[in-house]
Amino acid sequence: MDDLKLLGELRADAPEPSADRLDALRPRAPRRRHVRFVPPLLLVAAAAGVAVVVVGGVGTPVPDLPTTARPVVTAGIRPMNAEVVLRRAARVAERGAPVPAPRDDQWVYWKLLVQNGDDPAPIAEEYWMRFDGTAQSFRRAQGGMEHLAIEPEPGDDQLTPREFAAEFAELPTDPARLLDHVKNDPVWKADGEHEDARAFRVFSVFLYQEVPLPPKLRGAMFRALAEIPGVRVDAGVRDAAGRTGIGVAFEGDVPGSGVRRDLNGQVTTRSYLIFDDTTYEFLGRREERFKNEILGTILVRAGTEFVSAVVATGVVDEPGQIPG
Amino acid sequence: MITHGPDDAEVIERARRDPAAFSVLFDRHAPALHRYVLRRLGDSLADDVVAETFLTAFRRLGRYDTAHRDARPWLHGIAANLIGRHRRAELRAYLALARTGVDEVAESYADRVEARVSASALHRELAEALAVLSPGDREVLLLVAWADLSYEEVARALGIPIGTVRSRLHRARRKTRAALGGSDPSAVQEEARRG
Repeated sequence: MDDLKLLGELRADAPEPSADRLDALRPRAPRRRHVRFVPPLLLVAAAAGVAVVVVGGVGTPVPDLPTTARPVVTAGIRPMNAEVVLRRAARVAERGAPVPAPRDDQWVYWKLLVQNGDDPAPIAEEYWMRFDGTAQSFRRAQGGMEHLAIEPEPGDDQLTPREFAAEFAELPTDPARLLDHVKNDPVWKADGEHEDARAFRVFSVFLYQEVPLPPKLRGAMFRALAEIPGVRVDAGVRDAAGRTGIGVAFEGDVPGSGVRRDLNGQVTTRSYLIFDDTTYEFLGRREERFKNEILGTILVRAGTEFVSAVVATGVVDEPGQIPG
Repeated sequence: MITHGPDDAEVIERARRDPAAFSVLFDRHAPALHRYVLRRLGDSLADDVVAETFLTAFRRLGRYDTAHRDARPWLHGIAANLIGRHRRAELRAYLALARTGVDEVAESYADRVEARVSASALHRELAEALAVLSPGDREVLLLVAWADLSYEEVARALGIPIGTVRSRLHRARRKTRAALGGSDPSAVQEEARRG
């Protein structure tokens, strides 16, 4: 009698779930609060799944799809001298006015336009996040308001707006020290990730928070970005509101960079942070995929995967209010 | 034809930048994980635990150690914590099975018309043994027996040294065999081989 074998027979008839049942369990957002590692609205992209085509199980032939199903938008985009542009951005950012801190019971408002993959037009999303992080309200397009109470959860990756504001207040404003900090802060460490990629990712996360970066820190961030090898700057990059600005992307040629390349060493995707080309305010994000790609059992088509635009921000006293 | 997809570590690296890729991880591992949770907790809890496991995994993508190509141990580690929240329900089902021969977990997923098959005496003894094991020992035993994880994978899933996996499994199996009313030297040898 083998006890493990016998144990293996217990409830051995348990079935695997149906595809429909499983599909309902996929992570969907925004459920609770923003994810530290990934901008919240990209989660919506994942949930909507519009940019991916399921091609069935392993071993299923990939159907013939036109490679230009979604054209990659590169027209009008011009490479710039990253160092020059980022230094200028730093000088402008440092002159910005300081932003007063909200009270714990106030709400930070954020309105975005988001366009995923094949969406015909951008969709408006509005967030009200209580400054102390205990509640969030949310509205998508013309839909109703959704309210969420947020329980603090140990081990969760996310900081509240108040915690982000506290972190921003403490971060070094010397560019070299700031860069060193974001590369080595254990909070942000992801195994296998190159420190340059991490630095760029952490700055991306900082920019995508409801809480604005203080002017000196913004300036330091631009200077630090200029020091990261592989950071490129392009002019003429368009956000989801149709505004063009400078696009900043990381394409470091180092192991663990997270940058995808084809066999010829050409990047296959590009993820821009977009800034106004005069004020250097953060405008939004843009993600392009230059080639079709198969990820496991799904075919991901070339084209613009995701575009967003931050169109309004502010502090209000109640969820549902719009900053005047 | 797809013969070599990216491994889990590649998918996770990608998903850190491009969340759509997370679907690959879900499609790859959710079916078996769901079955495992179903087997432990029954039909009514399996959906919640699996959804929460992947949501948690999504939130913790940044912490995944991409030196490990297979994410199953990581996912099972997250699931183990969530399953642990339902320990009383899990134990209740083992005890009911031991006492009455009716397995409410099996009934929860079986077609009710043909369910109500009384469990064998051996399965009832086995359920009794599962109910009295310490939570840590039971976790190791079931990850090996039901999730087919290796000792090294169990160690990684639970964040414990591999020596602890061995000693927990040894203890769990000794108690299980005792409950089944006998001991089998070949089983012990097999245990040594697996490690």
